[in-house]
Amino acid sequence: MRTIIIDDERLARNELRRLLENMPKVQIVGEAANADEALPMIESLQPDLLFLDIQMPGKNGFELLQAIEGKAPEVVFTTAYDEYAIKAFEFNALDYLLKPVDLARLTEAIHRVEEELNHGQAPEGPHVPKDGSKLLGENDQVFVKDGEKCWFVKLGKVRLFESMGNYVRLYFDDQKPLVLKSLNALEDRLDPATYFRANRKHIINLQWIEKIEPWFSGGLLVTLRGSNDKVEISRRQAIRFKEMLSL
Amino acid sequence: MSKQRIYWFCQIVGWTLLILTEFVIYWIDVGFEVNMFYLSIANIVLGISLTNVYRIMIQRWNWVRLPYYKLAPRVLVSVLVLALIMTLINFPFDQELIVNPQLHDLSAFMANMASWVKTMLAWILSYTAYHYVERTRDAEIEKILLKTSIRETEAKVLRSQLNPHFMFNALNSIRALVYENPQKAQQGITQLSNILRNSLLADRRKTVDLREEIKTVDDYLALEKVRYEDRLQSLIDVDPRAMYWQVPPMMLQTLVENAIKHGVSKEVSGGFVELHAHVETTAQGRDELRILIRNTGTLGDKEASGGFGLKNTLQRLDLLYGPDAHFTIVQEIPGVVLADVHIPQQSDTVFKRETLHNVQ
Repeated sequence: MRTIIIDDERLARNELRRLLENMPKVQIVGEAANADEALPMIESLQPDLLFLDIQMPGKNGFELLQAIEGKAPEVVFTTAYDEYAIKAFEFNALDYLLKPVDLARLTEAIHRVEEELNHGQAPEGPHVPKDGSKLLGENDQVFVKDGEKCWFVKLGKVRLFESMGNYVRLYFDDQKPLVLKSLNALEDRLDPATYFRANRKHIINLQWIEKIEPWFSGGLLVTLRGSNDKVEISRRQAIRFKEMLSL
Repeated sequence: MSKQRIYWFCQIVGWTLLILTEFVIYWIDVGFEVNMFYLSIANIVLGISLTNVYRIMIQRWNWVRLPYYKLAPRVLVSVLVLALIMTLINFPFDQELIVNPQLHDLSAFMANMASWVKTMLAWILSYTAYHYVERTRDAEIEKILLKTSIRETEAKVLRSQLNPHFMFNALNSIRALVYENPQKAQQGITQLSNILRNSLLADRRKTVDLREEIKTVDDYLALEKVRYEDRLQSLIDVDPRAMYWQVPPMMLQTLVENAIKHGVSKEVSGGFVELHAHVETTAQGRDELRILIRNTGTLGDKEASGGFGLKNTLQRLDLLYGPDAHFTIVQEIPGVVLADVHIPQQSDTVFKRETLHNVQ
C-alpha cells in the first residue's frame, strides 16, 4: 500500500511513521508538510492511501482533497481535536484518527482501507487500466465537499451530473451536492464508455438508465433508476447515443 | 425564633389580650361573673382556632399569589364568615349575660356582628399584608441570588478556556519526542502540567500575579515551539515593576494562543509573537498595566478576528474591572496584528464585588 503522510508538524509525521513501521503492508513513499508540497507528490507518486491532517497552513486537508485532479486515493484523516470535522466524518463514515494515535485504532483503519482497495478492484477484473489517460471510471472515487458535508463517492454511484452555472450538481443516493466545476471540464475527465453527454446541461451514467422513450423533434427522454430523474437527450446527441448502444 | 413560633406567640398573646380586656371592662362594669369568664376563655380558643383555619386555607390555596382583585373578595368573604361564626356562637350567651333592654334582638345581633367583623378584619388584614410583604421580599432575594450566581458561572466559564486542540497536539508532539529526545519530552510534560494546573486554578481565582501568568505563557510558547519548531519565533519583555500586578488568570495565555492560532499557524513559513508588559501613568494620573501583543497575521475576516477568544477577553475585563479596562486589536502594519490591553490597579468594582461575594 503506497502511502503519503501529510501533516505540517515534523514530530507528528515522525510519530505516525514510527507507528506505521508495525505494518509491513504499508509502504511510506512520501511526506509533505502542506498542500503545495503534497499535490505534485500525489500527482507523480499516485499513492493508494493518504494520512491527512486537517488543520494546516495554506490549504487545509479538505481543500487539498478538492484540489486533487483525477481520482482521489483512500484517505485517513488525522486530527487532534476538531468537533466540526469529526461531525462531518461521522455523517459520511469517513475514517479518521485522533492524535495521539492509538496503535489498535490505526491497525483497524489500515484494514478497512485494504478491504476498500480490494473491493474496488475486484469487479474491474481483467479490465486493463487505460494507461496514460487519466480518465475517471466508475470504480474511481472522488472527494466532494459542499458546505459542511463531505463525501468520498464512487463515480459508479453517480447517476447524473447537472450544470448549474459555474457549478455542477452531482446526484447519488439521496444526495445532491454542488461542486465548483464546469460540466465541459468534467466531461473531458469522465470515461465516455460510462458517461454520456445528454445535452448542454446534463451528463448521465449509462448504467443507471431505466427507460428510453422517443421525445419531440427526434430527441429521446431517458428515465434514470432510483430517483425517476428524467433527462432529455437532444437530437444531435440522440444520434450518437443510438450509435453507441447499437452494434 | 422561628416564624412558626412567632405566629403562635402572636395568636395566643393577641387573642388573650383582646378578649381579656373586654372581660375586665365587663368585670369593672358589672362585677365578676364566672360564666362570662368561661365564655371569654372559650372565645380565645375559638378565635385562635378559626383564624388558624383561615391560615391553613390561605396556605393551601396559595391566596397570596393571587392578584389583588381576586384576593380582595376572598378576604372580605372570609372576614364575614369568620365574624358570623363568632357572632352565632356568642350571641345566645351574650343575650343571657348582658342585660340591655334598650336593644332589639336584631340590632343587638348586628352590633355583636360588627364588633367581630372589626376584630377579624384586623387579624386577616395584618396576616395577609405580612404575607404579601414577605413574599415580595423573598422574590427579591431570589432574584439577587440568581443574578450573582449567573455572573459567577459566566466568569467561571470564561476563565477556563484551554483549547483542547492545543492540548492534544501537544501530547502528540511529546509522544514523538519520547523517542527522539527524551529530555525534551520530560520538559514538555512539566510545561504541559503547569499550564493544566494554572487553567484548573483559574476556576477558583479571580486574579493572579502577572509573574505567574507570564510563566504560563512561557510554558505555552515552549510547547508550541515543540510543535512548530523553527516556524515560531517569540519574545517576552516584562517591566519588573509590573511583575506583581494583578491580572485575570489565563487571559494573556488566551490572547497569545489566539495570536498563534489565527496568525502564525496560518502561514506556511511561520511567524512571530511578541509580548510586552509595562506600567504606565494615564492622563487621569492613575497607574495602569499596559500589555501589547504583536504577532504575524491579518485581521479582517470574521473568522480570524471576531472569534470567541477575543469576545471572551472583553467580557472578562468588563466583569472584573468595569469601564477602566480597555482591550483593542488592530492591524498595526500589513502582516502584523497588535492587541492592546489596559488593566487598572485592583479597582473599586473588584473590591465591591468581592465583598458582595463574601457576604453571601
